[in-house]
Amino acid sequence: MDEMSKETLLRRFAARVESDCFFIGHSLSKFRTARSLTEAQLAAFLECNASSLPRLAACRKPDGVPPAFRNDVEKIANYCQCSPVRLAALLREVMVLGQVVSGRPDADSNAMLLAARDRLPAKEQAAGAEKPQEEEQS
Amino acid sequence: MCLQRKPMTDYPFEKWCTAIHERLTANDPTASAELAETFLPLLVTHLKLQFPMPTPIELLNDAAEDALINYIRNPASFDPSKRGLKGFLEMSARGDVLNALAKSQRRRNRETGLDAVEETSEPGNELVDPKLEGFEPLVLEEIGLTVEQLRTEVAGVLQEPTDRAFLNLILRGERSTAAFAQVIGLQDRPFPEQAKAVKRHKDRIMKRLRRLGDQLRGRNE
Repeated sequence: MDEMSKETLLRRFAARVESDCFFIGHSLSKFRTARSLTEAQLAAFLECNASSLPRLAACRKPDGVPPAFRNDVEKIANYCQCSPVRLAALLREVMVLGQVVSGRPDADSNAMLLAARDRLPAKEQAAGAEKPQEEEQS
Repeated sequence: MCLQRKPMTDYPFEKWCTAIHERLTANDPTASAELAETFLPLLVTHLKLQFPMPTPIELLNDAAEDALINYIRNPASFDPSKRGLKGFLEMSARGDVLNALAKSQRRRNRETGLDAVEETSEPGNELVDPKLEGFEPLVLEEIGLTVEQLRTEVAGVLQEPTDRAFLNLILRGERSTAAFAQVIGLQDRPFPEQAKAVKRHKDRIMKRLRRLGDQLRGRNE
């Protein structure tokens, strides 16, 4: 099986887990929908190649408990060659969106939000809040 | 009897499988992606060999993905002391394909009115998937039997119609206690009594099947 086939299979897998909150693919999908992003724009936000997105989508969503959250995000970012700060920002935003939509926060989500917020230096947090569209234009 | 033995798996790959299993169990966030990257092509290739055309490729892809997702979400379902990870995932994916084919066959039967016999027959008269097309050449590698031979072996240890009906329900993924209770005629009894009897019955059947599996594997070695 050639590399192209492998890539296609992983892309298919990534699309499959978009509906499964166990995987990061679920968060990526929510984020894309909320911000009306194309795949290229999402990759630009995460400062990675679009070809890394299926691999990222297939990762398990980081543990919400604060000490583990940072380690998990860094490990995932390193594996997928994306920005850990942007990834944390994305996860945080999706968690907030989820709480707004459901109207009821849960303990695990709150832990993840705290973990994401507390561990990001101010400069990086500001970067994480940038609009991806702005990046595309710059 | 046609025996298909797997070639000796290379040691580094086995070592990698052990490590990825441990990482999944420890909630390592990238283990699922690494597993998918490595095993998706292996599983799809395996299924293509096991289920040649006209089995739809989409069905094979789905089965490979299902096997991986189920394992990723519940790594404890794999017992490394019993078999290798590759064999475990292949078996799981193959089972998914068989279930999907059986489901598709039942749908076709219903559409053509051929399922009437199954719907109206006494419970347990025959094991499920009696006339699945497309996988008859399949040889179950671990035990060196064809599906048909295995069906005969299972029928031998589950001679009671109720036992076979129970197994059919299990194979069809039935989870309702009421459905199982009906097979053993306890549908009118209180739920705790039903649940207890159903569990006892299921345990007995699974114990027999495990014993049969041990015998067949022993016979094949």
